[in-house]
Amino acid sequence: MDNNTRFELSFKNISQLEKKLNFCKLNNIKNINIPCKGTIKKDLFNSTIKYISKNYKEFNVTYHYSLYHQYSKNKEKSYQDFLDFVKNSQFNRNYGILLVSGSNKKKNFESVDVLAYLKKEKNLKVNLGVAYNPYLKKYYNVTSERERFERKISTGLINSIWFQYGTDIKVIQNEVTYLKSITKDEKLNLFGSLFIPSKLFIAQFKFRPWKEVYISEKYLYTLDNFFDFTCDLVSFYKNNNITPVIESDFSTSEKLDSVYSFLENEG
Amino acid sequence: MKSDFTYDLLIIGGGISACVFASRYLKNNITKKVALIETGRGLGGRSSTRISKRFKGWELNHGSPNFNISNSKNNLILKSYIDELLENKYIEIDDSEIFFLNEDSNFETIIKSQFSCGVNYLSLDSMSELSKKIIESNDLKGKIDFFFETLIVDLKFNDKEWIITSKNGNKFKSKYLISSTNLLLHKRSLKILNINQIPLRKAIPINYDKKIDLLLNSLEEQTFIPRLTFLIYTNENYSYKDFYSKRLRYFYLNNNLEKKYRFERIIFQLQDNNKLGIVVHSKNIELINSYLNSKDEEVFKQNIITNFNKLFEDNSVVNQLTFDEKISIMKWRASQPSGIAIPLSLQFSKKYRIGFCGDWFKGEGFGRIEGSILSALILEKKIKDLIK
Repeated sequence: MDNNTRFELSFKNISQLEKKLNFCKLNNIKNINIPCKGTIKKDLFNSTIKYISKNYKEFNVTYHYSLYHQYSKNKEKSYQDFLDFVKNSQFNRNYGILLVSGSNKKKNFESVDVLAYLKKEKNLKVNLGVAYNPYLKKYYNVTSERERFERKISTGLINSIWFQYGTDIKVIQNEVTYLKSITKDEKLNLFGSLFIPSKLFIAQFKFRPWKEVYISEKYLYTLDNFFDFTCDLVSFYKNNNITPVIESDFSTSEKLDSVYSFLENEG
Repeated sequence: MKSDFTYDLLIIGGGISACVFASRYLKNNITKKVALIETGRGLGGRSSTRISKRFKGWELNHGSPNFNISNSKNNLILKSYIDELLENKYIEIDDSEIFFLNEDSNFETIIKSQFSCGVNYLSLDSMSELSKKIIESNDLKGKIDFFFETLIVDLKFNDKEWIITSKNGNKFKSKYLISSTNLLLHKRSLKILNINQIPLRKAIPINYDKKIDLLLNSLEEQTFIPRLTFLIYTNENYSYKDFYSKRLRYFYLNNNLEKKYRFERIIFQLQDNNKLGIVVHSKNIELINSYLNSKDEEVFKQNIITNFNKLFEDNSVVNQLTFDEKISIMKWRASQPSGIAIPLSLQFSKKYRIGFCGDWFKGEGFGRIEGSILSALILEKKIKDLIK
């Protein structure tokens, strides 16, 4: 089960991280993602990398590197930081990187720009993941996602695509078909965000919806519908070789059981 | 005119614990004369309902608007009592929306708060009405006498009989006494009642009853959380941003947010007239002191609105308030026991025919309605076994 699933951790400090990593170990979870958002940015993000590299080598970690949150001083310094991080991953081969622009894009320093700079680096063989939000065009009137993706993929540095969460399977189906059509010869790993619905999740999302995350009202007002949708999304991911990334909290046995029940009961 | 009243059993306090006890007692003692004495205007205690005289048509639960039962030890007495309340349709499972507000709004694990552990229940009517219904269900012959707005200031135990005196000079006599308030047992009574000895200590001097001595000693260590409650009677056109239509909606602030905004929880209460009432609870000492020292209550109220609006800036659910919303403020002297809880073994003194119940007793319901109900059920059982 675990080989086909990744788990995103959220934590507020290293001691919480330690508890969650131990929980993962205990439950034989090896594929984890460390996001760069909320409280996990800059110092905590950097110390997390050090902490995991030193103490938890057995994990297969993907770090979400946010160019916005990790920005420091100026573009040059920020680029150098990122380059060091990338080189380190190349030498040590013990973590993957998902490059994201971040919640507010820095002008001329978003993922498309940085990938273009990286391409110019000599002797750098690196594989990075990039994010893709299938819902931008239909629900947020942002038409540039495909073009941005084409620019990213043309660098030859990309080996994985990470789909943003959303609740319109037709839309994601459409985009997966499109992506497959333009990346036919390349071996790309696909990942898709997955939330396990709960009353709490719905309440929080209703109160403060996440930027550019589309969740239909029919799911926000009826938990049963949301459950059904989640089963459909799991099936869709499975049929399209998309590895689910669990973004909801899973760090109690009860919650982990609930995650697995969704993953196992799909269509 | 001063009057004397004589009863088989007197209950001091009209909160949910007293009501559960009274109801159970009446069920098993249909011929006994019972009275309940309460200092407030009605039943419910800290889970009562403010029926505003100033603002017609508003009924806001200004204490607990619901209650939650953990019963992790699966106490069968408690379980069957809750089942009974459900069967009688006095309560229902509360499926209102709960928001746990934190600063970064990321979906972290929520450590279940004291307000939301176990199963949440809601009264089908107001919370005061729930207490009333609990008593009435077993008071088929109207056996119980109620004395509201009656503050007891003195206790005496003479010749196997309790004589208790109210502030207005009424005397009540009774064979048995049950106190669900612990004001008459606690040192705070000295200041509140302006007396020089704790009433129960005066009635039962030291070394007369080991249990009573232990009880009074333990209570020395019990403290109480003061709270301020703001009742906001919103303007006619105030509503949610979305289409939520259930009676209640809860917002609980995490510790950091509570420090920042000085609110503990905010409960939206839809009224029968379709207006939306908002009850804001605070246990922040600075805020309570600033209220007590405020020279201009209107300015204080405006600050509350400003604070509320800051908290609810930029969200998809709650609208901002205007400065002309009507607010009334309730100051709870002792809204919830804290610190040391009292062992249930000290609940009853056979020698002095006095028993106690309330959420101030030990157990997982300490400080909550769960404790109030369970201690009342246990006390009633103890007394029933004794009188049999």
